[in-house]
Amino acid sequence: MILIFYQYFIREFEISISQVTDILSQIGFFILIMMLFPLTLGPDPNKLSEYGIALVWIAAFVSVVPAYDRLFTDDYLHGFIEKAAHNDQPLGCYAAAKCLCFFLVTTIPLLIILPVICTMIGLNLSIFFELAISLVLGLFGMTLLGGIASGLVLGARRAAILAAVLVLPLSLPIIIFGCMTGIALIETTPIKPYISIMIAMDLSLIVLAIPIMQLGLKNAIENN
Amino acid sequence: MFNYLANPTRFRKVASFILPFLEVICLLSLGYGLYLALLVSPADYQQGDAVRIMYVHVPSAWLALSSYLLLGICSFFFLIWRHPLAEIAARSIAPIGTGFAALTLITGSFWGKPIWGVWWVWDGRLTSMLVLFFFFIGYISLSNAFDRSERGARPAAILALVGCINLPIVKFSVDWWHTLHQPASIMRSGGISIDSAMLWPLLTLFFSFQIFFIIIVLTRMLTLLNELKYLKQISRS
Repeated sequence: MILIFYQYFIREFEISISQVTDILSQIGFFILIMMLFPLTLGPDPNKLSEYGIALVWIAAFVSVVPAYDRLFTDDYLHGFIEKAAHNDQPLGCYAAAKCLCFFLVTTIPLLIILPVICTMIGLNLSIFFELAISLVLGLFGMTLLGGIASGLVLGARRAAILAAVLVLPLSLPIIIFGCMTGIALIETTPIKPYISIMIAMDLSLIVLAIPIMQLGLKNAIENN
Repeated sequence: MFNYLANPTRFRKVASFILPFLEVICLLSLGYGLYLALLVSPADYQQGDAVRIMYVHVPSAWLALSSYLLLGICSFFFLIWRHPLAEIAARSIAPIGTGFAALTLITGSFWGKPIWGVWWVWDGRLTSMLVLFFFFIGYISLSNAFDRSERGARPAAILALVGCINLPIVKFSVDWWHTLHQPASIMRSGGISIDSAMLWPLLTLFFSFQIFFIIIVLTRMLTLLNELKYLKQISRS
């Protein structure tokens, strides 16, 4: 099982590395969203640093959501999922590898660019580490939710907007606790309870999301 | 009882037999409840006659919540036993639940304007009702997103179940989020412990709304069954 997971993961990782422009355009999208906030809220540094953490969270979430409908679509259209199912390979394993790879590919560039963005909107870099941890936890859960939505919308019309409509209401708990972490950071109250809740949500999402993704993928190839 | 009704032909017979009775009960209790609510029950000493919005607002909020629960139960039955009637029931419930959620939001803002002075506040309750509304929208758009309509049934059922798990979490997280931001809420001024003079019309109207809900769901289910039968006949000939 672990070997299959590893092979799927390597395959996905090589594919995503070869499509490096996709990663770059995603990061560009993130920076562009962040650029919109000073233009709409006004360039006042105090206001920007007050709302800064919430803005980073919104931009990070919104920049990954459009990518979700592509998560399984290519493999679905090329028949890779069907082939894996025919060879009696566990689809849950495939989905988990795909999600992990997607999470790494979207989150690591985001973390690299994050200090720059934080300085640009006037966030103190001393909280960068905690902010990064909460963002990583949030994006991890978000990727699993995106995997669920992406498995469900396979073969649908206008799948991109549909996946976004499905993911955003589901992701509310993650974004609420993520931003609570940020508020606690600014008010220098302990953030450990919020981080623990986010870890708990992520762990229970791992348990729940993988069978649901498997169900969705199986359903998509059976009723093709 | 359950197995007995699970046969579509038998279900159609039973449903069309009880529908007229339900309609009579609904009309009677609705008339009586509205009479109690609009004429008999006293105006609130603080809110005046605006409190009468409650008699529509609260039953539709309860119905919106319980119809999502029912949607989840039907989806569960459809996923596990693949029963076609459960899928038809779920598809009939979804738009009605959306309607009741929308009605709750609209009457709530009509109530909020004279009492709180604003149409909308980002309070925990209001936000979670809005999220419930979007769960319904997501369900409906997913089940209609495929070129063959029966293809959308299973993804939508899975989504409804995921929503059932997520809904309490959303509700509590939204509540906690709200308490963190603004501790003393204006919501409290509406939270009167209710007097029996107001409780009776409320319960009567809740009962009649419930019967009304059952009537629409049964009618929609019968229509969908007829549609399926018709489509089958067309494809056969």
